[in-house]
Amino acid sequence: MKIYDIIIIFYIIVSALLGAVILSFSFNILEINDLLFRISTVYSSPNARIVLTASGIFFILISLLLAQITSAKREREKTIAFNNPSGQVTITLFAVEDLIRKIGQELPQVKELKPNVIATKKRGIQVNIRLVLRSETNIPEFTAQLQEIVKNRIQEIFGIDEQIIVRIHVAKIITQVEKTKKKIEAVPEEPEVKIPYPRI
Amino acid sequence: MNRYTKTELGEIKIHHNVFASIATEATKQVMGVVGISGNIKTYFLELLGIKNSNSIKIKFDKNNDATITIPIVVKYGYNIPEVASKVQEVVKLSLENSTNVAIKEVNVKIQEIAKDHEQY
Repeated sequence: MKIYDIIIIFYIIVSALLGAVILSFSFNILEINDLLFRISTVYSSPNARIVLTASGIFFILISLLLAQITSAKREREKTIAFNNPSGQVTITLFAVEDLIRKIGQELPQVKELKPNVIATKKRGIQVNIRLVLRSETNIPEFTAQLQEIVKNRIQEIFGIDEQIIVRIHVAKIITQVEKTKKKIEAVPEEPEVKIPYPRI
Repeated sequence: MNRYTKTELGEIKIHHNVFASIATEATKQVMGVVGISGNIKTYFLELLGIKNSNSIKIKFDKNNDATITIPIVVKYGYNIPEVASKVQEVVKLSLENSTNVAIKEVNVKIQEIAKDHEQY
Protein backbone atom coordinates (compact mmCIF):
# COMPACT_ATOMS: atom_id res chain seq x y z
CA MET A 1 0.00 0.00 0.00
CA LYS A 2 1.37 3.41 -0.99
CA ILE A 3 1.60 6.40 1.38
CA TYR A 4 -1.05 8.18 -0.68
CA ASP A 5 -3.55 5.34 -0.07
CA ILE A 6 -2.75 5.30 3.67
CA ILE A 7 -3.41 9.07 3.93
CA ILE A 8 -6.67 8.68 1.99
CA ILE A 9 -7.83 5.86 4.31
CA PHE A 10 -6.83 7.95 7.34
CA TYR A 11 -8.88 10.88 6.04
CA ILE A 12 -11.88 8.62 5.35
CA ILE A 13 -11.77 7.35 8.94
CA VAL A 14 -11.39 10.86 10.42
CA SER A 15 -14.22 12.22 8.24
CA ALA A 16 -16.48 9.28 9.20
CA LEU A 17 -15.76 9.83 12.92
CA LEU A 18 -16.44 13.56 12.58
CA GLY A 19 -19.70 12.78 10.76
CA ALA A 20 -20.71 10.35 13.51
CA VAL A 21 -20.03 12.97 16.21
CA ILE A 22 -22.08 15.59 14.32
CA LEU A 23 -24.96 13.13 13.80
CA SER A 24 -24.97 12.01 17.44
CA PHE A 25 -24.99 15.67 18.46
CA SER A 26 -27.90 16.49 16.15
CA PHE A 27 -29.96 13.50 17.40
CA ASN A 28 -29.27 14.45 21.04
CA ILE A 29 -27.33 11.23 21.65
CA LEU A 30 -24.31 13.28 22.66
CA GLU A 31 -25.32 15.65 25.43
CA ILE A 32 -24.14 19.23 25.40
CA ASN A 33 -23.06 19.10 29.08
CA ASP A 34 -21.04 15.98 28.46
CA LEU A 35 -19.37 17.62 25.45
CA LEU A 36 -18.65 20.84 27.38
CA PHE A 37 -17.23 18.81 30.27
CA ARG A 38 -14.85 16.99 27.95
CA ILE A 39 -13.78 20.20 26.24
CA SER A 40 -13.16 21.95 29.57
CA THR A 41 -11.15 18.95 30.81
CA VAL A 42 -8.91 19.14 27.76
CA TYR A 43 -8.67 22.91 28.07
CA SER A 44 -7.57 22.83 31.72
CA SER A 45 -5.17 19.89 31.53
CA PRO A 46 -1.66 20.82 30.25
CA ASN A 47 -0.92 17.24 29.14
CA ALA A 48 -4.12 17.01 27.13
CA ARG A 49 -3.30 20.35 25.49
CA ILE A 50 0.15 19.07 24.48
CA VAL A 51 -1.49 16.01 22.89
CA LEU A 52 -4.01 18.28 21.17
CA THR A 53 -1.24 20.56 19.85
CA ALA A 54 0.69 17.56 18.51
CA SER A 55 -2.41 16.18 16.81
CA GLY A 56 -3.19 19.61 15.32
CA ILE A 57 0.31 19.85 13.83
CA PHE A 58 0.02 16.24 12.63
CA PHE A 59 -3.26 17.00 10.83
CA ILE A 60 -1.78 20.10 9.14
CA LEU A 61 1.30 18.16 8.01
CA ILE A 62 -0.84 15.33 6.65
CA SER A 63 -2.94 17.88 4.71
CA LEU A 64 0.17 19.52 3.22
CA LEU A 65 1.59 16.13 2.27
CA LEU A 66 -1.69 15.13 0.64
CA ALA A 67 -1.84 18.42 -1.29
CA GLN A 68 1.74 17.94 -2.52
CA ILE A 69 1.18 14.32 -3.58
CA THR A 70 -2.08 15.20 -5.35
CA SER A 71 -0.58 18.15 -7.24
CA ALA A 72 2.50 16.13 -8.27
CA LYS A 73 0.24 13.30 -9.45
CA ARG A 74 -1.91 15.71 -11.43
CA GLU A 75 1.16 17.35 -12.99
CA ARG A 76 2.52 13.94 -14.00
CA GLU A 77 -0.78 13.10 -15.67
CA LYS A 78 -0.83 16.39 -17.56
CA THR A 79 2.31 15.80 -19.57
CA ILE A 80 3.51 13.93 -22.62
CA ALA A 81 6.96 12.42 -22.13
CA PHE A 82 9.58 10.75 -24.27
CA ASN A 83 13.15 9.69 -23.58
CA ASN A 84 16.34 10.84 -25.25
CA PRO A 85 19.79 9.36 -24.62
CA SER A 86 20.64 12.46 -22.50
CA GLY A 87 17.47 12.39 -20.41
CA GLN A 88 13.73 12.77 -20.45
CA VAL A 89 11.73 15.41 -22.35
CA THR A 90 8.36 16.33 -20.88
CA ILE A 91 5.82 18.45 -22.71
CA THR A 92 3.05 19.95 -20.62
CA LEU A 93 -0.43 19.82 -22.11
CA PHE A 94 -0.52 23.56 -21.53
CA ALA A 95 2.27 23.88 -24.14
CA VAL A 96 0.19 21.84 -26.62
CA GLU A 97 -2.78 24.14 -25.91
CA ASP A 98 -0.50 27.14 -26.47
CA LEU A 99 0.51 25.80 -29.87
CA ILE A 100 -3.13 25.31 -30.91
CA ARG A 101 -3.93 28.86 -29.77
CA LYS A 102 -1.05 30.18 -31.92
CA ILE A 103 -2.33 28.19 -34.94
CA GLY A 104 -5.75 29.81 -34.43
CA GLN A 105 -4.21 33.30 -34.37
CA GLU A 106 -2.76 32.68 -37.82
CA LEU A 107 -6.12 31.81 -39.40
CA PRO A 108 -8.24 34.79 -40.52
CA GLN A 109 -11.49 32.80 -40.25
CA VAL A 110 -11.03 32.33 -36.48
CA LYS A 111 -12.28 35.02 -34.15
CA GLU A 112 -11.69 33.07 -30.94
CA LEU A 113 -10.24 29.65 -30.14
CA LYS A 114 -10.18 27.81 -26.80
CA PRO A 115 -8.33 24.48 -26.77
CA ASN A 116 -8.46 21.74 -24.14
CA VAL A 117 -6.04 18.84 -24.46
CA ILE A 118 -6.45 15.50 -22.70
CA ALA A 119 -3.82 12.78 -22.89
CA THR A 120 -4.52 9.20 -21.83
CA LYS A 121 -2.60 6.00 -22.39
CA LYS A 122 -5.63 4.23 -23.84
CA ARG A 123 -7.04 6.88 -26.17
CA GLY A 124 -3.87 8.84 -26.98
CA ILE A 125 -4.23 12.61 -27.33
CA GLN A 126 -7.64 14.19 -27.52
CA VAL A 127 -7.91 17.84 -28.52
CA ASN A 128 -11.18 19.65 -27.89
CA ILE A 129 -11.49 23.04 -29.56
CA ARG A 130 -14.19 25.61 -28.92
CA LEU A 131 -14.42 28.02 -31.85
CA VAL A 132 -15.91 31.40 -32.60
CA LEU A 133 -15.85 31.93 -36.38
CA ARG A 134 -16.40 34.81 -38.75
CA SER A 135 -19.59 34.62 -40.80
CA GLU A 136 -18.01 34.38 -44.24
CA THR A 137 -16.50 30.97 -43.37
CA ASN A 138 -17.66 27.68 -44.86
CA ILE A 139 -17.93 25.71 -41.61
CA PRO A 140 -17.66 22.05 -42.73
CA GLU A 141 -14.79 22.82 -45.06
CA PHE A 142 -12.93 25.00 -42.57
CA THR A 143 -13.35 22.69 -39.56
CA ALA A 144 -12.09 19.71 -41.57
CA GLN A 145 -9.13 21.81 -42.65
CA LEU A 146 -8.47 22.93 -39.05
CA GLN A 147 -8.61 19.34 -37.76
CA GLU A 148 -6.00 18.37 -40.31
CA ILE A 149 -3.78 21.41 -39.56
CA VAL A 150 -3.90 20.85 -35.78
CA LYS A 151 -3.21 17.14 -36.08
CA ASN A 152 -0.30 17.61 -38.49
CA ARG A 153 1.25 20.51 -36.56
CA ILE A 154 1.15 18.61 -33.24
CA GLN A 155 2.74 15.57 -34.85
CA GLU A 156 5.32 17.67 -36.66
CA ILE A 157 6.31 20.07 -33.84
CA PHE A 158 6.13 17.68 -30.88
CA GLY A 159 7.25 14.62 -32.79
CA ILE A 160 4.36 12.59 -31.40
CA ASP A 161 3.41 9.30 -33.06
CA GLU A 162 0.39 8.64 -30.85
CA GLN A 163 -3.19 8.81 -32.09
CA ILE A 164 -4.54 12.38 -32.11
CA ILE A 165 -8.28 13.02 -32.10
CA VAL A 166 -9.36 16.59 -32.84
CA ARG A 167 -12.89 17.54 -31.81
CA ILE A 168 -14.24 20.93 -32.82
CA HIS A 169 -17.19 22.70 -31.31
CA VAL A 170 -18.30 25.82 -33.18
CA ALA A 171 -19.86 27.91 -30.44
CA LYS A 172 -20.62 31.15 -32.25
CA ILE A 173 -20.56 32.87 -35.62
CA ILE A 174 -19.72 36.57 -35.65
CA THR A 175 -21.58 38.35 -38.43
CA GLN A 176 -20.38 41.45 -40.26
CA VAL A 177 -23.31 43.45 -38.80
CA GLU A 178 -22.31 42.46 -35.27
CA LYS A 179 -18.74 43.54 -35.94
CA THR A 180 -19.67 46.99 -37.27
CA LYS A 181 -22.17 47.41 -34.42
CA LYS A 182 -19.41 46.82 -31.91
CA LYS A 183 -17.15 49.26 -33.77
CA ILE A 184 -19.82 51.96 -33.68
CA GLU A 185 -20.33 51.35 -29.97
CA ALA A 186 -16.61 51.66 -29.41
CA VAL A 187 -16.35 55.09 -31.13
CA PRO A 188 -17.14 57.77 -28.51
CA GLU A 189 -19.82 60.24 -29.40
CA GLU A 190 -18.70 63.83 -29.93
CA PRO A 191 -19.85 66.00 -27.05
CA GLU A 192 -22.60 68.41 -27.98
CA VAL A 193 -21.44 72.02 -27.78
CA LYS A 194 -23.83 74.12 -25.83
CA ILE A 195 -23.72 77.88 -26.00
CA PRO A 196 -25.37 79.26 -22.90
CA TYR A 197 -26.05 82.75 -24.31
CA PRO A 198 -26.13 82.66 -28.08
CA ARG A 199 -25.47 85.94 -29.81
CA ILE A 200 -28.23 87.24 -32.00
CA MET B 1 22.44 22.98 -1.64
CA ASN B 2 26.15 22.93 -2.41
CA ARG B 3 28.44 20.54 -4.16
CA TYR B 4 31.70 19.92 -2.27
CA THR B 5 35.09 19.04 -3.72
CA LYS B 6 38.17 18.53 -1.59
CA THR B 7 41.60 19.57 -2.84
CA GLU B 8 44.98 19.60 -1.11
CA LEU B 9 44.52 23.25 -0.21
CA GLY B 10 40.97 23.03 1.03
CA GLU B 11 37.38 22.67 0.04
CA ILE B 12 35.57 23.99 -3.02
CA LYS B 13 31.85 24.55 -2.75
CA ILE B 14 29.69 25.16 -5.81
CA HIS B 15 26.24 26.44 -4.96
CA HIS B 16 23.12 25.10 -6.65
CA ASN B 17 22.49 28.57 -8.13
CA VAL B 18 25.80 28.39 -10.03
CA PHE B 19 24.68 25.22 -11.80
CA ALA B 20 21.31 26.85 -12.47
CA SER B 21 22.90 30.02 -13.89
CA ILE B 22 25.22 28.09 -16.21
CA ALA B 23 22.30 25.93 -17.37
CA THR B 24 20.15 29.05 -17.92
CA GLU B 25 22.78 30.78 -20.05
CA ALA B 26 23.49 27.63 -22.06
CA THR B 27 19.78 27.02 -22.64
CA LYS B 28 19.19 30.59 -23.87
CA GLN B 29 21.85 30.11 -26.54
CA VAL B 30 19.84 27.37 -28.23
CA MET B 31 17.82 28.50 -31.25
CA GLY B 32 14.13 28.12 -30.60
CA VAL B 33 14.29 28.71 -26.84
CA VAL B 34 12.46 31.81 -25.58
CA GLY B 35 13.56 31.39 -21.99
CA ILE B 36 13.34 29.48 -18.74
CA SER B 37 9.83 29.07 -17.43
CA GLY B 38 9.23 30.07 -13.83
CA ASN B 39 7.08 28.53 -11.15
CA ILE B 40 4.92 30.06 -8.40
CA LYS B 41 7.93 30.39 -6.11
CA THR B 42 10.07 32.27 -8.68
CA TYR B 43 7.17 34.56 -9.70
CA PHE B 44 6.58 35.41 -6.03
CA LEU B 45 10.28 36.11 -5.43
CA GLU B 46 10.44 38.24 -8.59
CA LEU B 47 7.54 40.30 -7.29
CA LEU B 48 9.62 40.95 -4.19
CA GLY B 49 12.54 41.95 -6.39
CA ILE B 50 14.58 38.82 -5.72
CA LYS B 51 16.11 37.27 -8.82
CA ASN B 52 16.74 33.56 -8.69
CA SER B 53 16.79 30.64 -11.05
CA ASN B 54 15.32 28.02 -8.75
CA SER B 55 12.86 26.70 -11.29
CA ILE B 56 15.84 24.64 -12.48
CA LYS B 57 16.20 21.58 -10.25
CA ILE B 58 19.46 19.77 -9.61
CA LYS B 59 19.89 16.47 -7.80
CA PHE B 60 23.09 14.63 -6.99
CA ASP B 61 23.15 10.87 -6.53
CA LYS B 62 25.50 8.78 -4.38
CA ASN B 63 28.20 8.80 -7.08
CA ASN B 64 28.02 12.62 -7.22
CA ASP B 65 26.49 12.49 -10.69
CA ALA B 66 23.97 15.23 -11.35
CA THR B 67 20.48 15.10 -12.79
CA ILE B 68 19.17 18.48 -13.92
CA THR B 69 15.59 19.40 -14.81
CA ILE B 70 14.99 22.53 -16.90
CA PRO B 71 11.53 23.96 -17.61
CA ILE B 72 11.67 25.91 -20.88
CA VAL B 73 9.50 28.02 -23.14
CA VAL B 74 9.92 27.17 -26.84
CA LYS B 75 9.47 29.58 -29.73
CA TYR B 76 6.42 28.88 -31.88
CA GLY B 77 7.27 27.07 -35.12
CA TYR B 78 10.32 25.16 -33.92
CA ASN B 79 10.48 21.38 -33.78
CA ILE B 80 10.29 20.58 -30.07
CA PRO B 81 12.17 17.25 -29.94
CA GLU B 82 15.02 18.90 -31.86
CA VAL B 83 15.12 21.94 -29.55
CA ALA B 84 14.92 19.74 -26.44
CA SER B 85 17.68 17.49 -27.70
CA LYS B 86 19.92 20.49 -28.45
CA VAL B 87 19.23 21.93 -24.96
CA GLN B 88 20.21 18.61 -23.37
CA GLU B 89 23.43 18.52 -25.37
CA VAL B 90 24.45 22.15 -24.75
CA VAL B 91 23.58 22.13 -21.04
CA LYS B 92 25.43 18.88 -20.42
CA LEU B 93 28.52 20.14 -22.22
CA SER B 94 28.63 23.57 -20.53
CA LEU B 95 28.05 22.16 -17.04
CA GLU B 96 30.66 19.47 -17.46
CA ASN B 97 33.18 21.96 -18.88
CA SER B 98 32.58 24.59 -16.19
CA THR B 99 32.24 22.46 -13.07
CA ASN B 100 33.82 19.09 -13.88
CA VAL B 101 30.70 17.43 -12.55
CA ALA B 102 29.42 14.41 -14.46
CA ILE B 103 25.91 15.11 -15.71
CA LYS B 104 23.90 11.92 -15.74
CA GLU B 105 20.64 13.26 -17.14
CA VAL B 106 19.30 16.54 -18.46
CA ASN B 107 15.52 16.45 -18.25
CA VAL B 108 13.74 19.10 -20.30
CA LYS B 109 10.20 20.20 -19.54
CA ILE B 110 8.39 22.11 -22.28
CA GLN B 111 6.11 24.36 -20.28
CA GLU B 112 4.88 26.82 -22.89
CA ILE B 113 5.00 27.82 -26.55
CA ALA B 114 5.51 31.52 -27.20
CA LYS B 115 5.98 33.86 -30.10
CA ASP B 116 9.09 36.00 -30.56
CA HIS B 117 7.68 39.17 -29.03
CA GLU B 118 6.43 37.43 -25.89
CA GLN B 119 9.02 38.01 -23.20
CA TYR B 120 10.22 35.67 -20.44
